[in-house]
Amino acid sequence: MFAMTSLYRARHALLRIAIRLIGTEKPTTAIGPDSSLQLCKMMADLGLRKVMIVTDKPLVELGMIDGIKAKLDELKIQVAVFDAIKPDPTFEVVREGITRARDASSDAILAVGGGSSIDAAKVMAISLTNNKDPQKMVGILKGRKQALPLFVIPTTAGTGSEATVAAVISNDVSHQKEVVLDPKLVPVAAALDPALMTKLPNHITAATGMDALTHAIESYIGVFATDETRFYGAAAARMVFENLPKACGEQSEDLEVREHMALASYYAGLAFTKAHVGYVHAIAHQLGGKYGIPHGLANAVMLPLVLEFSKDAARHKLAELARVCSIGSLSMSDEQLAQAFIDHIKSLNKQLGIPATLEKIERQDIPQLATAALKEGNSYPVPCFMDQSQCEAVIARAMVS
Amino acid sequence: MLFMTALYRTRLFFLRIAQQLLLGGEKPTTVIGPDSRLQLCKIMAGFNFRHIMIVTDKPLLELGITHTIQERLEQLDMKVSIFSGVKPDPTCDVIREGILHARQHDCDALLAVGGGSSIDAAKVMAICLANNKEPQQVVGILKSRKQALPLFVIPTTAGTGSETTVGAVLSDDVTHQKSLVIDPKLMPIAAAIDPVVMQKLPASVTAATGMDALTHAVEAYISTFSTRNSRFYAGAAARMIFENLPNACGEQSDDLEVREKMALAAYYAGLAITKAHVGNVHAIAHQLGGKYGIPHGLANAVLLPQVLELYRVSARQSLAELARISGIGELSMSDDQLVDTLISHIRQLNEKVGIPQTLNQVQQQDIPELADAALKEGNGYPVPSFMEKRQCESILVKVAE
Repeated sequence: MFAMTSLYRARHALLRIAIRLIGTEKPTTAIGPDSSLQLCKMMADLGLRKVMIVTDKPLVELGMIDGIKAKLDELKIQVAVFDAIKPDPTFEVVREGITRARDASSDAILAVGGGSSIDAAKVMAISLTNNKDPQKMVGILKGRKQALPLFVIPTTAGTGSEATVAAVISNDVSHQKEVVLDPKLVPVAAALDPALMTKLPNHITAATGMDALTHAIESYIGVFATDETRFYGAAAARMVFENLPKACGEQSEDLEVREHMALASYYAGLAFTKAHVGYVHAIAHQLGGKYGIPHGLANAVMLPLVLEFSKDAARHKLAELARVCSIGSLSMSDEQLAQAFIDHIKSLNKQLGIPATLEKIERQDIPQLATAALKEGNSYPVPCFMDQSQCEAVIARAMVS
Repeated sequence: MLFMTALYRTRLFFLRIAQQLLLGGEKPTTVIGPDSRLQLCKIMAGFNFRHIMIVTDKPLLELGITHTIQERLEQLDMKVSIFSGVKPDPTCDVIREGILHARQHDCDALLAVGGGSSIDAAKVMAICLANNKEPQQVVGILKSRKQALPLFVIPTTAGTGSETTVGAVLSDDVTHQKSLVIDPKLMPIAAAIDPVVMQKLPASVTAATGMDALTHAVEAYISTFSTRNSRFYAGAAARMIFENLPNACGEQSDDLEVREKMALAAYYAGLAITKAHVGNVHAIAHQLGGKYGIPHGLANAVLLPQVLELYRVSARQSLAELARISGIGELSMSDDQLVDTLISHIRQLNEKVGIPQTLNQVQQQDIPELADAALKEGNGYPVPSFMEKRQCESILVKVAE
């Protein structure tokens, strides 16, 4: 019996590795108007008793978390609110949140907000259980233990952070963006609730929506793309093209339109968590770090410029995307379709009031920005690599001439 | 530049392997709550499918359960054809028929509406269709290369959890022996957890399928593969079933809250077994199903307390922990007492929901052969302690009495 037992245990060890290969990381989702309240019910079902809400002051002042708080109260879940998140959160803020969660002995974290709140909450959740300083979590797989159960209610349709294994936090001193990558960062559950997005101002709807489009496109044309990531990337791109102009226009309060945008952002998140992003993000992160340009806006401006650069290498993929999104006509060649696709993005930007250039970029900063962007971007599965002069040229095109 | 490109590609190659080690498998995107099945149709429309094949069984078709779903899909501009040939414990023949049906209608997505049999049959169809393989050819672990045809699921029982697992069980045409397909590609794209389709489920089916879910939760909880994460879900599932199954089988059988809790519990239990697997209860139940056609949930329910008796020592702590989480027993009890209480609580629950203590189809003379087959399967599971043949036989003798 002993010999057999060891044999089986040995077989299990191998099988266990195989299962780890298989893994399973995606949030459970609740989708639709008032799904945020459904999420609260799920937290109660899962036996959680003390939750810390991670959010920002403007959302609290707009009363966006009142309904959620009332529901949690009704379910006898104790609530602490940490509302100190600012755009591009620093490790300092994450540390404050950790202290707050320890003081309240929270057994779960609920992020309500855009990418900044979600990313900060992710790093809080993993630092808390691993008892490490958040700065120590930077890099790949730095947490050994499962994160504190994390729940997410995105209030913008853009980051897709509810579906990803990554979080971006800014260095306290240099404001350089640093990335934490760990499958343990994927939330337990997320609610895609369009009722929380109908009041989002136009310029934020536009910038965050273009962020989602950038995720969809960069993951689609990258060399890590699989049938599965392209399936989600294509659906996301099509949904953004169809719904973003409506969400920024007269139908901004239409729940259907907002729900499509929220789903598109989530699908784009599913695509890029596996297929990654590319140079658009690599450059946008530098512009955000150096000048504080909002991430979605920087992506929106850089997207057509970087695609012009990748046009030849990614011609077939871009043409495929154009076809899926019904851009161009059937008779066009791949080359024409790729160009039509890029032109379509430019005109979408224009329609949404996104400028073609960014005033804050200074010519003397460009070499340094390009070096940093290449350092980041060359680690992404981009369709073709850039050299320093090419990257400088791309950034220069985003500068007001 | 060429050298650097090669370097980056090499680095990406390794990152990709590492990533597949870490990510890979999935969870479905979920919509939860009354009428979420109609929401699922909307989600399907977002992917621009042309022609959906609904995989279901005759009774559900006759009850009109698929009718509203078909109507909604057609409203959303998708063609629908229905394959209602699934029977309990579906055979390869049935799956082949379904595949043929899908090919004839050029379907580009499958929607399973039903219990474990319909879901599992649809899973195997989806993977065979995309890979152009026979059902027998995909039996085993990771036997196919391509992504499955997009699969969507509306479970109509709260038990199998198959909407969120990477496995499917199919029966041999002649011997009715059950075999397993395991592949992360079996994970549905999205699932609707809709209590409305469960309201009319007869008490006997509610009881047996609910006990199937409880068996998943318990076997996953005490498995040697269990992790913090799988225990989190298994613990919640067990508690929710203890609280809600008697109500779902009694006067509150059409209470949507109760049905939703049961459906979520089955889903959580499914999440737990995807990582932590099942154990000897399932190993024996599969043999009873294959040999006598005893419904899977019923066999599990009868066997569960019997098999747990074997683990009083080897799984003492985890069973006691599960009792505490489920609110069974008193705080002052020792681990041994808690295990006793848990096992007798399960027996009482069986009695309350009308599950017998014995299965009179089981024949004395079949027992040695059944035990051999059960051990062969069970020793492949991460059980807390391995069964000896005489132990397995004595369980079967008790069940046969």
